[in-house]
Amino acid sequence: MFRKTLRPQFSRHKAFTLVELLVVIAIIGILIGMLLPAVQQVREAARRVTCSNNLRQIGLAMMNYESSYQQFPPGGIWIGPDKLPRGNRAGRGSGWAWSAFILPFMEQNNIYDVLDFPARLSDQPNRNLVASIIPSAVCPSASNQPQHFKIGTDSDAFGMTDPGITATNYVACAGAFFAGAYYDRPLERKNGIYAEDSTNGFGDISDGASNTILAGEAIYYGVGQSRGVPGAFFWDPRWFGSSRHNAGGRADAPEALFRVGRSRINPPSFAGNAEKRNAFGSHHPGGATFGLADGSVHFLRETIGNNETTYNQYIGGQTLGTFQRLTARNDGLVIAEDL
Amino acid sequence: MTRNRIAKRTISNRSVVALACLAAVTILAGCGNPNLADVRGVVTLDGKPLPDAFVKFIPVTEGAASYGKTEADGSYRMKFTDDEYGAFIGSNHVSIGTGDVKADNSGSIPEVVPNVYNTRTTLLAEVTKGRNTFDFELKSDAGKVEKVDMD
Repeated sequence: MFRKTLRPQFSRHKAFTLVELLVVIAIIGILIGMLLPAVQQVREAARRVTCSNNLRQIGLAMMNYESSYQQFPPGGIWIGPDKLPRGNRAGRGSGWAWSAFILPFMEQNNIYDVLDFPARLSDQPNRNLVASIIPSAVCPSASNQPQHFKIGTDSDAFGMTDPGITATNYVACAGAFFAGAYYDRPLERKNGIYAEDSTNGFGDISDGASNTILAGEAIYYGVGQSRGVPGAFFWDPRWFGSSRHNAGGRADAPEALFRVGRSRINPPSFAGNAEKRNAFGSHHPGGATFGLADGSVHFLRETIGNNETTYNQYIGGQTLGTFQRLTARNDGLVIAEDL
Repeated sequence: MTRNRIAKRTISNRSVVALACLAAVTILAGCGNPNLADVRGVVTLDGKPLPDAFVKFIPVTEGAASYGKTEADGSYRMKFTDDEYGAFIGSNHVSIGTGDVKADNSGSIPEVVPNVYNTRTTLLAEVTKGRNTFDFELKSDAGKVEKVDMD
């Protein structure tokens, strides 16, 4: 009886009202809005794990090299007349990076065995080999960077135009200060595990292996090309070495192989070039991944303490912030922050 | 009948408002680093606005640096990341300079600001919670000008 009277009433309101529809759409919208970022975050988390795995491979390869030769691979070596003053390096050949020396410890013997180290990177057979793609050299979050870094032009003595040197997102740590990788700087300035011509082993890490960074992440700022190209960034990281320009005495680019602790992690895009070429950075939101000398891999937040002490301030007695302490191997300072 | 319809409509309107509030809360939640505070101001050199200068706030103790770049009128606003405004709350060393290297290593961009404002800075700013305004009146005869910071 009751039902019968109700039915005709309902039939008059068969359709949804506009407001009801809007509410439904709003609810669906909110649900999608909540779900989509979550899915993206999960995907980013997966990429970050892959990236940590890459850095662990690199860290272990460096440590295996140390076990074999009682020193970590040299940060970078140069061929040709050695120890010329900076800016006067005519005839000094291109530099091989630490990354070329650890290839046998990353199951890349097929490349390593054919590389001709006394020759330049731009000479054959090196020219073809340094374009080889190394699977664990690239962070999966850096998907929009070029695969190769081209150097100069064909008329340059050290030009590496086609396809160039294979790209990477991993750089060695050259201590706490700018220019800490340059071979001609005082020893206490070169306080990282790596520098040009470095010979450090575990015995030189007086801060302890678990308090010192071996390698970390760096990103591409340019277009994978080094000169005469708009947007080119000279110091973008590359795997086999930093071949040089043959122009104006501005020879090598150590920052393409090393980064230091004096710049904070992930400086914003409008920071100065002098800053960006020295800074560790990543495409992961909030920080970057680092491999420590004890084989552990840590994701360090970009808010980690860093008072950007300069070398002159340091020898003048100023202390280092947490991040700079991690990048230096022999500062003797306690790391209080939890990594 | 009519009363019934009115009641229904008010309920739906109310639910729309509630949903809008919920959406707003969801969007706003999780935004912003509580250690950062908004910092802005104007940089002048000898009374004239200083364009294209890098402004840096480096925390004295805890936290990491924020960056700013001055506009044509000398104004700047500090950013911690590309999409997060602010500088760390507390004492900050401030460094202001125009010097840089060109991205393709073809030379350098000259420094016009004396070193007492950048490589050997004496500027200090106390950043507090909320909105901060720091105007810097620099003098070009305050010290010597150093080359690009490689220190």
